Amino acid sequence: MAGRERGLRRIAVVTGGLAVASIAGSLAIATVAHGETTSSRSTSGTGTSTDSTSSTSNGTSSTGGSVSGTTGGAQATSGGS
Amino acid sequence: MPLVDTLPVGSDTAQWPVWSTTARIVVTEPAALPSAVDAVQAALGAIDKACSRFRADSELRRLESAAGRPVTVSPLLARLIEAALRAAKRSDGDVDPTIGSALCGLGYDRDLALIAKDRSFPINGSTARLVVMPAPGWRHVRLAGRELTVPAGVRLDLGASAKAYAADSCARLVHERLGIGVLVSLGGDIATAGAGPAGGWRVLVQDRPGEPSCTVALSAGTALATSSTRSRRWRDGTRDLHHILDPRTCQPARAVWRTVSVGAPTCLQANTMSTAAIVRAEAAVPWLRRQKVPARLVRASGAVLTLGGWPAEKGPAA
Repeated sequence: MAGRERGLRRIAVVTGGLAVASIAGSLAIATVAHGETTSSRSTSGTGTSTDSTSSTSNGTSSTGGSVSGTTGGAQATSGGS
Repeated sequence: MPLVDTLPVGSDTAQWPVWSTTARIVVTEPAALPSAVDAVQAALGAIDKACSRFRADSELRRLESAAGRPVTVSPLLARLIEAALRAAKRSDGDVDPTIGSALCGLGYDRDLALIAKDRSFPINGSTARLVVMPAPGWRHVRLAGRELTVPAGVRLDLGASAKAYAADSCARLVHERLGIGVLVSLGGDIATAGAGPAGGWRVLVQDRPGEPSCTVALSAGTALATSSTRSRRWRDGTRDLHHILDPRTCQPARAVWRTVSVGAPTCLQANTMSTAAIVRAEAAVPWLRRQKVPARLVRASGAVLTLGGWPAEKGPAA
């Protein structure tokens, strides 16, 4: 009898653990999916999209770190012509 | 009109034609501009003499007679080849210096200005020029100190890396020699050295006048490069060609991207990534994400994608 109860308890523990793991997995997938959706969203109606994967999914920032927005007259150009 | 010609040339700026494009330097001390120009022009002249594919007296061209034997090269050519091999390694072979013969086979065997002038350009779409074959491969090029071994029959093209190396080295040279801040731009391959202006060096990034653009601030001591499938083009009678070859086919890379711009600590790094991104086509996006660099990619349609913290666009619709 005691052995049967121990067995049932073990099954309950394993089943509960699986349920917790399943919920955690679902949350992780939902988080990743949210990050991907955010990253593919267009930021304006001008045909420009901004990919923010590096800052939303892994928390790291660019190692380039060299470019930021500015205003005023340009001193040089870099482009396709 | 080249984009750079839309900018004013003030007392702190000089520009002149070089290598079928425009050299532009901007200094923080206008009084030092003439000395800076002299230094940059001398350095560019030395680099041209070391590694030009288009002049018979260049050290690179003279290497062809070595026919696979080891040759001791000048310190400058050794540095240029070392830079090219570093770019090849960093790009997993997407930027490969052993495409020289393929470029010649496609007709890019002289300065582009001469190709444009030559109406009797002999390429007429013969099937021999359409053969798809891989480049010999950068791993077959050996550089040990100044001893260089290039397999017989392999022609090197350092174009992808030499211009970026030149921008880096010229910026460093001006800063070290004159003690001033400087921006050196060679056809949009931009390197900076020394202290920059307050707020950073301002660079207009745009394909052509009237198209989507942004002006970015480049931190002092950093670099920016743009690679393009729209520039350095020529026609072989049946096809429009551009100069960025996929080393796996030795044919111009698919023009998924019109241009790719990348910011990085050095111009060599920036140019390696922007050129490799053109070659990688759609796969460039996840690759650039992994590099964690700010980048701007313009699709053939004109739509702009920015990555890695590149600032949002301003300007007219794509």
